[in-house]
Order: sequence, then structure tokens, then C-alpha cells
Amino acid sequence: MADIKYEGIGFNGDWVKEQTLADFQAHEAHHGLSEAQLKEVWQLARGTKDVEDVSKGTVDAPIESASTASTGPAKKK
Amino acid sequence: MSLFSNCGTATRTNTGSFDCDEARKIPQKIGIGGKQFTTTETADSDSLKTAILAASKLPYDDSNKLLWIHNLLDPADNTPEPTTGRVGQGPEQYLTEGLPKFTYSVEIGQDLYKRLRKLNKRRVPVFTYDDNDKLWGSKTSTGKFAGATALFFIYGATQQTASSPVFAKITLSYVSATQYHDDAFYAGVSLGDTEPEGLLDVELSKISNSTNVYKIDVKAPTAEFGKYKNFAVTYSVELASASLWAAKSGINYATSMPITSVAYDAALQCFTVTLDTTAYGLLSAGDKIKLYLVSPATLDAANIVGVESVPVILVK
Repeated sequence: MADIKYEGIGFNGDWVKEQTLADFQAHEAHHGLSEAQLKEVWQLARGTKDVEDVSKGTVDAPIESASTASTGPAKKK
Repeated sequence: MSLFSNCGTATRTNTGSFDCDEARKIPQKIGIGGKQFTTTETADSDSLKTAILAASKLPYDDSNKLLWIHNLLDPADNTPEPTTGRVGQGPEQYLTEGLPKFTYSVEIGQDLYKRLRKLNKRRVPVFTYDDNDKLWGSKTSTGKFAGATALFFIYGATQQTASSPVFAKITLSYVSATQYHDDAFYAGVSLGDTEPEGLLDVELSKISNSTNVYKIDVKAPTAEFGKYKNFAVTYSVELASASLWAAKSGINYATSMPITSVAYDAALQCFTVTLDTTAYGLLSAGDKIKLYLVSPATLDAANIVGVESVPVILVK
């Protein structure tokens, strides 16, 4: 599963890209993100938004999966 | 006819010895579980250690899971003497062989004690790791390296007295002398004093839900009554990841249900887990959903170390 992290929220990228924009925005509206922000997530999932364009703003970091993330916090005990 | 043959049934043996013939030394730890190592996995110390660590991070219900009890103290051999008898004035004959039985003391807290008590009277495969860096087990009929089957029991002095600290005794009563002695093998591996570390059970629980959007606690109960360690706080960033959660429904929970997003709720110190509306809508009222975190090994790779989730059953 490809995770997309956005504003601290972990979206299921595989699921997101199968949705229409309107359906996705309606489905995930409870997170409190704006429509524009949800559109960014949707575009990232579909590969129609360049990560660098948005990473200066609110995108944490799109990652392939949790197990393959190249960066992350230090291990906690 | 050979000295060791009797009516054509040969007892084949010789007494030559390999340089690598070893005796079991002082036990340091025991590994309990069904893991059976292949010859590839036992090819060298590093390979075996990798396989041991992997087996130790498996989910509890995995048949290859290994649990470890470290720092065994005061090992004692309680194997009964063989019984003997004779006919009249005839020579003494050995009648039955005592099955191997060993007792170890461990310093232990009440919390671990009550969890290990769940294994009492159970027949479990047991590996023994000694202070000579040898892991002892037995060879299976399929040529794998497995634990020898023993009855497990833990008991002991669970309250300090004027003359004795708290400790527990673990007894292992092996069920087969043949398996313990004749099928015995060792494999060399170097393990640290507390390797492999045990996993903590982290319980998921539902706080509330609004249709398909659930507020989920991620907490581990401690030994102190009513006190929990809140792993949602500890791993608020790492666990906000849809790929680290899984949901299943249907008969035997065989049907996967997509989790569309996971977010940390700082106010409630829990996670907001959103299930796919379409799949959720197909369920009837009263249908159940099993929600859990992915395997400990996958969590470990995501920097969530040493935990395994106890699933929560959500009822629609």
C-alpha cells in the first residue's frame, strides 16, 4: 500500500487514486482539510501533482510504504 | 553374528566422536514455540540469529512464533531415576527410563508471571540456549531443527519473605526421552543477554465512531491497576499511516476492508481511523470488523519497536 502523508494524516494512496475528486473530498472531509488541500492529496496519489511543487507547503512526504520509508524518526523504545 | 545383534535386529552404533561433539552447558534462556529452522537458516550464526529474531517478531497466533524467557538461574535436573527390578535372584534389570525434567528459577514481576501462567500445563516445543552459545533442540522427521516438546509449568515464591526474594520456578518436563536425547542437536548462535526481546501487547479499543470513522485507543495495560501506556502518544507520527493498520470483516474475518486514512487526534490522544464507506455500507447492522495493526516485523521496520497489537472487534 502506498501511503501519502499530508498534514500528519496517512492516506491510503492506492485507495485515493481510485476515487473521483468529489468522492474523495466528501469521504475525507472530517479531517478538516480544505478542498484545495484534499485536491493536492488526490493529485499526489494519481501522480498528477509534482511532489516538489507542494512539499514546500503542507505535504509531509509521500512515501511508497511505511516499510520502505527512507527517512523517519529515530527508533523509540 | 554381531555382538549387538539379537535375532537379526541390529543395534547399529559406534563410539567414534566428532570434534564438534558438545554437551549441554548451563542454560541461559529458553525459546518456546513452533518455529522449525531449515538447514539454510542454521547454516551459520548470523543466519540463525536472523531467523530467530524474525520468528520472535511474528504475531502471537503464528505457528512459527517464538517466545523467550531470559536469565535462567539455579538450573536443577529433576529427572527421575530409572526404575529397576529383578526376577528372584536374577540380575537387576532397567525397566523404565525417567523422562528428562529440569527446573529453573527466574526473577520476575507479577505482570510477566501472570502472562507466563497462561502456558501452564501446556505441551510446547522448547529450545534451550546455553552459556556456550549453543541453541539446543531436536531434529524433526522432516529434517528441520525444532524445539523438544515439554510440559511447561511456572510457580513459585511470588511474595518476598524475610529470607527469600521473589522468584518463580519454571519446570520443563520433556515428554520423550528419545526426542530429548536421541534426536538432540545444537546450532551455534550468539545471542545477547536479553535477545530476542519480547513484544508488548498493545490493545486497540474503540472510543467512539461516526458511521465509518472510528476513534481508536492504542494502549498497553501495565502492572499498575488502571494505568496504561498510551502508544498513540508515543507513536503519534508513525502510526498515522494507513498501511500500518488493517481491517477485515466477513466469515472468519476473511474479507479485507480498505482503511482510507489514519490521523492522530491530539485532543483525545487516539487515532481517527476511516474505513471505506462503500465496503462499510455493504455490512449489515451487527456485522463485525476486526481492526488491528500489521505484523510486529512491519511495525518494527516503521520504527515502532517491540509491540504487537491485540485486535479490536468493531460492531457496526
